[in-house]
Amino acid sequence: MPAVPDTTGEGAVAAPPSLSVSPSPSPQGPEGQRIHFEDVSVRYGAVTVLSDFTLTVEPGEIVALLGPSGSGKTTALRAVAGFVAPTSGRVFIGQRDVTGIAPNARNIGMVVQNYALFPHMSVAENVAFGLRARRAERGLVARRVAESLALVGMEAFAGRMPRALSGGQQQRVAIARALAIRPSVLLLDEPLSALDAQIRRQMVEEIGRLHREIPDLTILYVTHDQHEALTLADRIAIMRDGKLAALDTARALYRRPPNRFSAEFLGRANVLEGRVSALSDDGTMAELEIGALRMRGANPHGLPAGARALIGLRPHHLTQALPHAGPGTSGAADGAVRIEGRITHVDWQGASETLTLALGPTSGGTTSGGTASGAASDPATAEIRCTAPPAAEPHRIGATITLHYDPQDATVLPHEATDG
Amino acid sequence: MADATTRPLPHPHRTLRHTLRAALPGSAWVVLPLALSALVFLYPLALVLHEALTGGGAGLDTGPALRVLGAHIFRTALTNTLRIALASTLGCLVIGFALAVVLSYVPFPGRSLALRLIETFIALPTFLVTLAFTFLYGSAGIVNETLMQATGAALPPLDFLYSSWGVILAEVTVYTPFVLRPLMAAFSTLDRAQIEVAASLGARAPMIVRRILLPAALPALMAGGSLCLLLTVNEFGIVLFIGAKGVITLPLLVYSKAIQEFDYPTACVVASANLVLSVGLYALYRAMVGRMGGGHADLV
Ligand SMILES: Nc1ncnc2c1ncn2[C@@H]1O[C@H](COP(=O)(O)OP(=O)(O)OP(=O)(O)O)[C@@H](O)[C@H]1O
Ligand SMILES: [Mg+2]
Repeated sequence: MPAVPDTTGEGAVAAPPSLSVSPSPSPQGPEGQRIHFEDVSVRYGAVTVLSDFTLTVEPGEIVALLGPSGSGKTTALRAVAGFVAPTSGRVFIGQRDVTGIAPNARNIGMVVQNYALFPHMSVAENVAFGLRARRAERGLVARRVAESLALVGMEAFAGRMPRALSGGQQQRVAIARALAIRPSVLLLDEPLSALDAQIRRQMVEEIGRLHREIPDLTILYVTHDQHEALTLADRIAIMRDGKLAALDTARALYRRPPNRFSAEFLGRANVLEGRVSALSDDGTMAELEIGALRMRGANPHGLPAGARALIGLRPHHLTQALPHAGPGTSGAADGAVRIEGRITHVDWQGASETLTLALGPTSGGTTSGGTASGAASDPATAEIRCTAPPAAEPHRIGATITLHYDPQDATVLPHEATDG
Repeated sequence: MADATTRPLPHPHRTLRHTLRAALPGSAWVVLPLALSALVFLYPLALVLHEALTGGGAGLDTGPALRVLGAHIFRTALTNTLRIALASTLGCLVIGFALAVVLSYVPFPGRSLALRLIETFIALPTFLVTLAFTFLYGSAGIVNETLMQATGAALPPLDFLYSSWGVILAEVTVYTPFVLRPLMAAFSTLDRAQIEVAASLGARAPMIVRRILLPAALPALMAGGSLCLLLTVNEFGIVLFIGAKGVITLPLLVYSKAIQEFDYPTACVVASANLVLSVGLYALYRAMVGRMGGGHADLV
């Protein structure tokens, strides 16, 4: 294994001859290394599964690859592990181009959905496997196994066989096994999706804690669960059809999704279509004309007046008000936008409920004026979802209610011609 | 049916069964077929055993049997049989395992064709392979002819075919598919992620084979191996067809005593010994399959 140049900028730490098994100065592990995809494409025959994928996971960072099924998340992860050969492009770990390097020479920790523990080995032997493969001396193996099991709270289970463990325990062992070799990067492919909801929440917290204990560890975390991504990831990469659809910090992506797909995929935002009818003086806010409806929102893309545009608004940013007396008055003094809707569906979820509302005038679609642009959402048929704590009185289907939102919470997005 | 008020219509089969059951006591349905098969299979077997234990005379006389069992030729045949069976089984296991690993995990063009071809070996009569071997490696076979022409030797340089090595080679060729099949089945149920995780942990191919594939294949190896042992202990066609002069096995000894020398008492003793060996191995085989667990027993 060649010496790997330090990429963290914390001074040159010469890599020991066998980076992976020598006791490293920090008890946690080796210096984190970046994962870098450079224009990686993967094709199977005529099918392009990953197309010109470029992404850098910085040392010590957790990046979640989030996307619908079949979007190429696993393929991207397997390209790092070495089980998928890119048709074109290169993959780096640290400064090292690993594109043509065998999986067993990449010093990677990998955790998969179904754990893949070795069934004929005890928990301790499973964890020791990677160290044995590196011919680590016995004392080191014993020490590392104990350390790694302690890290995931499984010390007491060292002698157990995998089949005698619960799913959550098996996944902990799988993580310990991956960490025992002190990998430069950790790849997790939907590690929690085989667990039930309660254990999954607990494991998300544990992985978070684990990363606080090993802050240098670079983690690429594949998931289609946005809760996991939002909780764990420093940055989220949203994938769609083998392409990177969006990449930003979890908060930024949630607050200001850059496009319709990210807005809808992450947090199921309401997206309505219209035309920019007015701008604030500095252009940071825009008003959209959606039929007879006017909706304001932040304009981070700086769309000009007259442009076709979308507006994205999260269901929980719409606050409910009791049906009120007089029309025409603005519902809130602080510039909140007021919209009216007719309840068409109520989805009660215990702690919250989601109302689906048909927008537009109370009397239904017939009185709405003809829309100026054919592409705009017709407010007569446009729907909007609103999530709020359940009302004391059950909602009546067909009742008209007024909703408010802070225009800062809405994002005006460029119109996408090709978008479905 | 759950409704008590609707009376079920008399079912034709049910009625027939009832009629038959009425005509015969229930136990007859078990006893009759058993008795029939006893007559067809067990009676001749009993005759053989009887012949072996009485030495052709009246009354129990183990003297002749013990004499046969003590004879040099029997000892030789027994050791030959065991030696050839064990060596062949070992060969089948080693080659079968290697082939199964390659066919399951190493992608190469024509892989499915190779699989199909090996499968058909199971269907081939055993002597056919032997015949093919004679054409290839026999004293007048292609290989020897070529070698003799090339070197100008007067005698065929390759004569392993007419020794136990020839028999072993033929048996390995014939019976390897019997090991290969359960092995392939075992590998097809092995989670590929295990192999990938092992590789990413730094394991090279030999370690993956030793620590992941071998343990996963162990039940199939045991079951396939004991089946192989059972079949090779009783192998007759291959040994006869090769016609190796010095290679006398138990089945061959039975054949030569009974058919060539009309020495039925001796043949029966040898056959009985062979039978005991087979039944013992069969018990072993069942135990192995049983240990694979109910879900896997059908793989063999
Ligand atoms: N070996 C292969 N040959 C052909 N197509 C493949 C192969 N492997 C994957 N694909 C295709 O590549 C696409 C992306 O697969 P991938 O497993 O990366 O998706 P994913 O984002 O991980 O999905 P999921 O969330 O369902 O796991 C899929 O459409 C899949 O059918
Ligand atoms: Mg996947």
